[in-house]
Amino acid sequence: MSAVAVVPPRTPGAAQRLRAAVGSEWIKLVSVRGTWLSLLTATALMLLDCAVVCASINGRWNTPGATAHTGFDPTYRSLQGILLTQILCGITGILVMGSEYSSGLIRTTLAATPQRGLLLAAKAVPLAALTWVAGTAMSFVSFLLGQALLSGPAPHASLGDPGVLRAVLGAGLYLVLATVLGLALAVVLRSTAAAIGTLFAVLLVLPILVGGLPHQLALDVDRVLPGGAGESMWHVVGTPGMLSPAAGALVMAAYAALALGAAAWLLRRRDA
Amino acid sequence: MIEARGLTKQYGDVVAVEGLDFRVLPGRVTGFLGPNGAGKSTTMRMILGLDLPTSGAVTVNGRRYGGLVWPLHEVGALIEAAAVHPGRSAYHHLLSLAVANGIGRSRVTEVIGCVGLESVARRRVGGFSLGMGQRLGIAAALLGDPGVLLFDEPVNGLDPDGILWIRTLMRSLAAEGRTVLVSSHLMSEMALTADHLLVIGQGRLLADVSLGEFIDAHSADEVRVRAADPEALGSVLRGRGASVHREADGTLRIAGLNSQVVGETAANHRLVLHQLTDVRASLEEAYFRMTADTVTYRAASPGEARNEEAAV
Repeated sequence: MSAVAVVPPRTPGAAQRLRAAVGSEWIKLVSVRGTWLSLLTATALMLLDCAVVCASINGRWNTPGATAHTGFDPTYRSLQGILLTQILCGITGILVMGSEYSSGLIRTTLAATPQRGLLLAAKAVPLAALTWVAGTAMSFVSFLLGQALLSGPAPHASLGDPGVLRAVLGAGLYLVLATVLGLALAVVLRSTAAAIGTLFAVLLVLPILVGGLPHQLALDVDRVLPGGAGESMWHVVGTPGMLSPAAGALVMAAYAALALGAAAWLLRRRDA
Repeated sequence: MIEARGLTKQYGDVVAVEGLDFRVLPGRVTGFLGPNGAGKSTTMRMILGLDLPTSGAVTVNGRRYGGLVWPLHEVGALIEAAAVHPGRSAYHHLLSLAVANGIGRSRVTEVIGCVGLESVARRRVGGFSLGMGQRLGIAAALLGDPGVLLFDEPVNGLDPDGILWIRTLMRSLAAEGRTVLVSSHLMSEMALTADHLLVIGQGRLLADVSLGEFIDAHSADEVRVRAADPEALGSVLRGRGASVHREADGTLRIAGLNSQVVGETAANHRLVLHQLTDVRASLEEAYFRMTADTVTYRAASPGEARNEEAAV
């Protein structure tokens, strides 16, 4: 039956079990086009947005009333594409689990790794690692591109300026959290389409709806929404009412952790 | 060995499986038979820890599936065709499963060869035929060289060569001392493959017997006779207590007497016979006789339903 000796690993420690599951999920993540396509689209959107926004600001800098010069944040402007990119990163996370449910692969996966909590961790780790590298890389490129375009008359930032490196790194981390949020939504909803819809609603539609509230209330609510809190991570000059970068990162991380916790609970509890 | 004790699964008010007690023993092919909706797949999913029993338990080698640390080394399963990401290659699909259970790359190559997918292993699974998908599923089941194998409708979509291949494979796996549980709605296939049967209807276990005993217990054996004077032979046989059915071409189908008695009776009455044949009930007939009352989704006319199912 088998010429190759097939023996289970001898020390079934939790660490070794997790390593095996992470290795498996890494292979699955990088062996489908969807992952690369969504990350590539994310990068393209980020750079495109950066080029359009920064070139336009720079070109109209001296036009009276074109851009508010006080509180101008060149770092934030060059990273603004995150508003679109976050959705693509979330979709990268959604596809990881959504495709398992749509194809029925989840049953094969759980038969190979019945430790469900561990499986979710094994999916989150390689996904977070990949999007961290990709998200940080696109943030740096976008920042550098943006600052080059803002070279004058508009002021530009450099990585050595206070808070700038933190914001660029924060942008990469924010994209990781958006990706993990997507993964968790797909587990909870067990559908790619429903998860993408919910991601749009939470990250893009909700802030618009909140914007319709009375001014002060809108500010108070928006800064604790995932998008509003997370935005502080990639700002150098905060807007009025915005949380500090650390507090914003904590709030955004709490949302992702909460969603992941709910996903783990449901995954362990539900029939596959 | 697979062992179920009081295994019960309810989905809301619907009882899918109720109080199943059985053991699937090594060294033989056990066929899992039942009409659609009888609870076969639900039972398979519970064996694999995918669905949790409402009550009762099922164990593999004495342990719950969820408690197996490296399950692919103990249990291999083909649960449904095409449970693969269409965009991933066959090789990467199998490699991901292997890595998850500490199985080496060389074994991946080996099972790919074993199921005959070498030439397409690097292609995306989305373009596979049903038969190729089925072979991939079987490769995944064999990956960990497990002692227990579950196959849910394994011959679906396979061509005659493929069917022969999987029949031989299942028999040889059992001959090696492995536990093999296979569900199929193809009775003729089951009759050729299974040694032992678990018959399930409306979620309950109806029989746990060997294939031969099952057919013996649920068959009505017949004798077919063609005679020079069917009219006369028929009335003589009826006189001996047989039930006689005359077909349009004059062939008599006789139940209640064996062929020896039929032949001797004809000779005693100097009646000429052209043909005398024992007809043994098939597994299919035995199965329909037994499950006649338990089919959940019956078509409007029982006769039609029977023909339809017999045709698949």
